[in-house]
Amino acid sequence: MATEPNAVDRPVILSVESAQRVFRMGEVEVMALRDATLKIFDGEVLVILGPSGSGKSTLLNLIGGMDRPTGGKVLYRDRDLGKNNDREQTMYRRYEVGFVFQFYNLVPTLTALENVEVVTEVARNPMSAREALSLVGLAHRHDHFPAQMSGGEQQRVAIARAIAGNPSILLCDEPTGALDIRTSREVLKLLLHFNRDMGKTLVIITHNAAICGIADRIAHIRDGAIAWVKDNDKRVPVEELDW
Amino acid sequence: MSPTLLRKVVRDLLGRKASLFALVLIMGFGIAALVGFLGVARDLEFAKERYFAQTRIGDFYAPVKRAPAWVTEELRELPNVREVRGRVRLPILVDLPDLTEPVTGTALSLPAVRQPVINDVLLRQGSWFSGTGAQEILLNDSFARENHLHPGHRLRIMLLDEQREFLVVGTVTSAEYIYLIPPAGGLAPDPKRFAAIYFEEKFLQEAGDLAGAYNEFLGTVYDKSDGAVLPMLRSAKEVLDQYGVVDAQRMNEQPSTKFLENELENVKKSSLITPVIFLSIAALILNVLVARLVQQQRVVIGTLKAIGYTSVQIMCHYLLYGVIIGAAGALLGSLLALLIQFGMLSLYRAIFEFPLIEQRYHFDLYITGLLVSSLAAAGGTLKGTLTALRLQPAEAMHPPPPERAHRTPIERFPALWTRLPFRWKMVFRAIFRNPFRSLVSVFSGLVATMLIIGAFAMRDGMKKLARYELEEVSHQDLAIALRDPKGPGLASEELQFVQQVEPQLNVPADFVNGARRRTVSITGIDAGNFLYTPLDQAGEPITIPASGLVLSRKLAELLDVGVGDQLIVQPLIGERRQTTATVVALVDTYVGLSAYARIDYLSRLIGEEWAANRILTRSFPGSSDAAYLGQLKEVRDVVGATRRAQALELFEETFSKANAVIIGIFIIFAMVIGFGSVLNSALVSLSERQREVATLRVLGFTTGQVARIFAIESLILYGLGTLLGLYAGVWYIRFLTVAYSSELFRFPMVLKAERFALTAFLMLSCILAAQVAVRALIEKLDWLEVMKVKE
Repeated sequence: MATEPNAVDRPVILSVESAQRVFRMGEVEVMALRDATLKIFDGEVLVILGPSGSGKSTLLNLIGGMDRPTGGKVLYRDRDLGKNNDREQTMYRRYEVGFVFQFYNLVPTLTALENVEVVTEVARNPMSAREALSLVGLAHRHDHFPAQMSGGEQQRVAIARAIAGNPSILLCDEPTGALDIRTSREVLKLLLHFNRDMGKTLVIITHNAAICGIADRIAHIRDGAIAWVKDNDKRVPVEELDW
Repeated sequence: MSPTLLRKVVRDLLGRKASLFALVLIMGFGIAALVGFLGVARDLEFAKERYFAQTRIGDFYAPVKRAPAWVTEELRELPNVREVRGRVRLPILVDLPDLTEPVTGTALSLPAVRQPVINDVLLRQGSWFSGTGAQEILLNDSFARENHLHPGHRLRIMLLDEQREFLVVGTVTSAEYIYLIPPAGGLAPDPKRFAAIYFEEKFLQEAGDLAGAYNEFLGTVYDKSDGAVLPMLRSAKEVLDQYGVVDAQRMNEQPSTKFLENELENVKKSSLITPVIFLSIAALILNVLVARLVQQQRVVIGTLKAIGYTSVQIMCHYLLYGVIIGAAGALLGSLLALLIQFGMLSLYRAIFEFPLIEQRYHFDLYITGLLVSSLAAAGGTLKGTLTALRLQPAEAMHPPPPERAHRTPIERFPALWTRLPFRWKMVFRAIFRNPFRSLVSVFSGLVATMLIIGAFAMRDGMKKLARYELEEVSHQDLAIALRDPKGPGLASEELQFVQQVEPQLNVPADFVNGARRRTVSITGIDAGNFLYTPLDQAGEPITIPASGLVLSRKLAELLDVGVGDQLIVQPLIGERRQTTATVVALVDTYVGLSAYARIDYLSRLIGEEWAANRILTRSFPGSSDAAYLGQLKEVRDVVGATRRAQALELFEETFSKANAVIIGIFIIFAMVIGFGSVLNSALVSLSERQREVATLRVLGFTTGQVARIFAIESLILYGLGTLLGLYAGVWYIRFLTVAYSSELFRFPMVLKAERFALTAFLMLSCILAAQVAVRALIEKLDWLEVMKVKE
């Protein structure tokens, strides 16, 4: 059973309650998420740590509004995401969540600026795409295509895209998974910056335990369940992260 | 639509220039056919309507033997009749010094003083009759032009057995004579030998022994619907019966108008058939392309959905690819349509006698073209769009599941499979891995082949049609037409230099079977016929039974009768006694509607013992026709003479060239489909297998060796398509002969081995030409980069 730390006095923004996700493949049932319970607090930095196959991605899909649980609940500010229809799920993703992916997932035929505009064009009260790019320090590269940029730069464009729509939560799936350590530090620094200065809730899903150093809290997922959640006592400055 | 995503669409498309080019080309040709042919039909129809209005063309006509002028009033009283005009129409022979044979002509009366009349003329040169009583005539303009005649020239004309000299005072055109098939018959317009000559009414009445009378009535009606016109025509026939009415018909039953309308009909058919084929192929190819695009952009789609784009927005995004290609196709098509319009209207200006055929811009057609092509293209993105719609963001984020390596059906025969070189194995795997795409390739090859074969068949059919009518059925050198049916022993003196003579009797008659009726000329054939031999389906001459009628299949179909059925026959000349006749056999003919009977049987139908009004002759081999042709100009009762060789020549001259151009365009169209689809499927295949190509290059394969793999794939798929297309072509030709069959023409089905071979060769050229482009792309491929990039 997951332990509930009591050191946090912030409101709960997302609550996963005994969430279950079963995939049916023909005759076979695969239990990707068995029983996950987790609270995410507004404005915190939560690192969800787990080895591959632990149900990390399934959990990410549930809290990111890309999938629905087959059992249990996922509540966003008391709203049951499992009961959302497709359109409501889309609007949840559009307005509340900013995604950062391992492989950046930029549109290859759009420039840096245009990749950000993809979000600002549909968001409710976005910042300007140029502003978002300058916040990640890439204003000067706005007209470059993804193929003309380094992995770190691409990920920074992806972060600019994620924050440009003014979401409440930044949901990062192995954001440094494809980057070298130096670049990874820059990317994490940027994410922390948006957490601290703009109050975005930051959820990072990773298999890399080193990243836990920057977390307020750490959740460990194993075999489709949250094994434990704890406050991070040993906060490390990003510059000192190493793996 | 988000402007940023629009930019993505444009860049994605520009990144696939070759495929885009092929698709826009195919789409453009389809739209060109739609917009072009419809535009041509409209321009022609517009020219026709304007000309008809300008010359106040009537709604009906009724030729009679002789009716007093006051009958005009009686006709005017009939319900639904607005205006009636009587006129004189006489057959004439024109003696042109340059020509050995006499020229058949028609004399028509016009008021002495210019005034608006039904079936009026437009004055082109010179002036109207002077009114001085001099013997003055107006010539139809094309006849004057072809024979270099001008106002001021004098012309010798045989009018009712009396040759006189007339002064040409002007030239005119008439909407009655748009398509100038000589009255004696023929397949091609012959303005040089088609003399419509206008005389002052009073003069022609007297010269034609019709003082105070007319032998033709023209009229207009209030209500042009069948329901109003047909009863009126029946009453008119009743009124005119005592004056020897031959017929009372709508004006558009006249050969010239009928031919024009037949052509309009065919153009409209083409405007439907061709675009349907082209746009379907374009839609299928587009499906392949967009399906591939969606597959490539799987992660992008997932990401867009993850960051809050709705499925509908994504669907619209991929639909937009189709709409843009459709719009580009419509633009190209509308431009090409202008060329089609230009080309076909030039052709029509040569074939039809119109004062003016204008090429106009049809903006509503351009809009229609845009809508149709966008719709077809949107349909073409359907497969990919639906995939994009269904793709779940969570699932799309992951790399696509590894490609399923199916065992191909050939692998079930290990003895064969293991012997195949590995390149062939790669090809077969590729073919079976994407069955939809492979089927589209085979199908496109099939359609392209079918179109080429069909185009050749139309050309060969046209030639066969002329050859059948003018060589296989007819064997005379000359056909001489007489004014009235005559007994035996006619013109024997003038014909003594001729090797063979065969009499014929042509009797126009109404055929009635219940509600169905047709007016057809029955050809009476002598028992020992050898100069005119109708053929059966096997191409053997048929023997005309001693009694009863032989009908052409189309006529039997229109009258809904078969062998053994009885028909009511009302001959329109001679005694004009209504009788019944039995259908004894059917024959296939390709031109017009025909009926045959033995000459003695037919003579009895018109109340004669034996009569003929047409003489076919064949000269001694090597002898010149000139001697007696010249004499014929003087012979009483002769109203025309047609040389078969010249008719054939004229047909070749008029139609063969025009036909070759149109067929050539169709073949180019078909090859565009062939080339375009081969290129596109090779490109999609190449994009899917870039890593494969890169790997082979790394392993030391040359560009040529790699290109050969794609060439083999194209050859197998399109080769199969071509083979199937050759077979389907036979059915397509059958379809065309039915689709373009009309009362005027039926296209014979002609299948020639060499055309099939040529078609296969053309398709092979398309396949190989596309390989050149593919090879250039393989050469350009940065394979080191491909190896690095993760798809």
